Amino acid sequence: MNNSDIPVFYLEDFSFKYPFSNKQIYFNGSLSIQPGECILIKGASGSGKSTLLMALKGLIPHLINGKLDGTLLFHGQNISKLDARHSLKIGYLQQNPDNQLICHTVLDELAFGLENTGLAKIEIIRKIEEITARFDVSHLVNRNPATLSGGQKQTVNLLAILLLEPEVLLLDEPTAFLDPESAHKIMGIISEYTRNKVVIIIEHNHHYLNKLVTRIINIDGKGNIIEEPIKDAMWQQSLPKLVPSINNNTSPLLTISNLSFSYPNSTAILNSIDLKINKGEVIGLIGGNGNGKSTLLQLIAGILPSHNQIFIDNIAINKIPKQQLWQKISILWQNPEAHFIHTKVCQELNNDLELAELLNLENHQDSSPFSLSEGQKRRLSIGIVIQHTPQLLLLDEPTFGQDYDNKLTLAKLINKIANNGTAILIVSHDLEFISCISNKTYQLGQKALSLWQK
Amino acid sequence: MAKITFSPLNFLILPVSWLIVLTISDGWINYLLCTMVCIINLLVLTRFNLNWKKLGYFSLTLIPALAATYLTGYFFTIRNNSAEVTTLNLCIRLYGIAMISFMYVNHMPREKIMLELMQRKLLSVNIGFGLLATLNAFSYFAQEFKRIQLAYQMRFQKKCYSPKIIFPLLVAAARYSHNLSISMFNRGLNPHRNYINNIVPVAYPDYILWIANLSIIAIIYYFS
Repeated sequence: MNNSDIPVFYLEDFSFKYPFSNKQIYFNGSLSIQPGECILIKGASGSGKSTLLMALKGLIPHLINGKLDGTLLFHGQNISKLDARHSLKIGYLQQNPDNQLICHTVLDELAFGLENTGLAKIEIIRKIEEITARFDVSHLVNRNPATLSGGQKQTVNLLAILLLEPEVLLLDEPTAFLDPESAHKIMGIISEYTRNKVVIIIEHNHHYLNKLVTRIINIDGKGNIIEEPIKDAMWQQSLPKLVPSINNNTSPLLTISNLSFSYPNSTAILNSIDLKINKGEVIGLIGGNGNGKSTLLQLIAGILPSHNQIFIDNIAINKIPKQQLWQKISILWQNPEAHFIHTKVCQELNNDLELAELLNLENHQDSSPFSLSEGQKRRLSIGIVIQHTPQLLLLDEPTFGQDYDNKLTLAKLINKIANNGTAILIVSHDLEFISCISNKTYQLGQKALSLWQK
Repeated sequence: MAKITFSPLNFLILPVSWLIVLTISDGWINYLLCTMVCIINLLVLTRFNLNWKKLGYFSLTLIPALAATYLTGYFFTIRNNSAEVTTLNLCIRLYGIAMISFMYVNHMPREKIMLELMQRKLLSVNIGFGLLATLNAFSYFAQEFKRIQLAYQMRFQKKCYSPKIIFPLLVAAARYSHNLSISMFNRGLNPHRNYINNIVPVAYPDYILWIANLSIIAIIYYFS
């Protein structure tokens, strides 16, 4: 076999077991990845897709302990024996843009990897100028990464990796936290980069991958690696319409009137917002990263102060004691772990087996909530916030990390709750999901709300 | 005229030196003098850009602690003829140590100091970037803890928090540091790296500052 015949990655009967856990991740069969391929990894929530990417990056023996079996080769070499210099040929972008930023300016962030290669300062600056100009982010270089929007942060993270000119790009749900515009931009950068390189991607929002993916690998429930044919229909994951029926004749549950808000020492983020939500109504709220959607949810939940601008059952929320208000309103945070208190899933759900089944968590009742996959954690946190049947439910990105089947499960659950009379306000970047379950969808842009139609 | 630049290491060298002087010197005048000199040094280093409001609030928060120290010290030394003076000395000494430490921690350009120390090989790259990442993480943890508290209050309708809420915060902290270490590994962090930021060389403004400080220390010892 000459060098050109050796695949970039070769994986055979790979398995991994995390320390102090009974759960073992299996990949049965073999997988060979050649240069120029862009591979979409599909699989059920918790099937170990993210673990596979970490193994391909070589993180598992170096940074993550556990028992590793099987064959995993990079250019014919055992990945666990890869040295630091060769490891830089494999770029890995994580899901959460916030947890990857190291430095205090975007310039330092972009330079970080190149500095580690020992490149001369003048060459580092030249490369950064070139890539920032190419992807139209030159205006960000002197900013503190903490002040950037989610989309801008993920762009910086991606460019910091691309500057190292990796041969392989591993992407773990790169658009999970991004609005559609930012997600398209990230995908544009990736598609420009992919020529003659290997890209392996985990992504639940398949419509972004339409022109990118050359091969699909599915990991089934038993860990079998199955090659799937690419079908045009799979890029559009249409959910059935599950819009609840509402009675418009009743007085609205929530009324927002002329609401404006700005953070201290900052310009207004919301201006003259008006909104009404009836009992049993599902309202979608979309908008770009940093446009104030989460701020609006916090204002409605009484976490941020308002002055006689938000009314629930015709009473201004600033006049309702917090404990009383929070009997009526529940909020789902973006980070599901903020909701976890107990050590077992069944305790979090008050041993409600029916709810666990509704959330597809019946097989994880004795697991620690913190050890679930991201998608499972999100479903568990939804189960927690709906338990005390609030009158108004505020959901911030409920579909994060969910595949098609679980999105459908959530859509049915939300429809059921709404039909029982709970009003629901959903903030999401998932336009398909929002348009299928909501009675109305509003767009938050330029500090104001406007009705959105698909 | 060229802008006078001081080495960021002065933010470490000067307060540490004056804290040593304060600790080994005697008498409330010396303690106050040390504190005053540190304020002047900080004014020079920050180009008169001090956060007086923050310093004022910190001084106020010291009052209960100093009052308690005064009372405790007074009743411990009540049989001593100069109980009031001794305890007042102790209080001013504690005030000086607290103020000097707080002032410099609050105004120092932490990231510049870390980079400077790493570039001068006075601090290992792994520890330096670890510390930098920790400094970045404080605001993230504060936000995360706020969210955890609110989620708990909304769920259990209680005004008091269970100690259990610390658990998700610990997990968040562990996950954050884990992801960050992956990010550093991913970008090949190693001790033989280059830096695009230049070291600020120790130059004549630093020497003048050090000579001035040493002169004041000599005067304090001459008169005490």
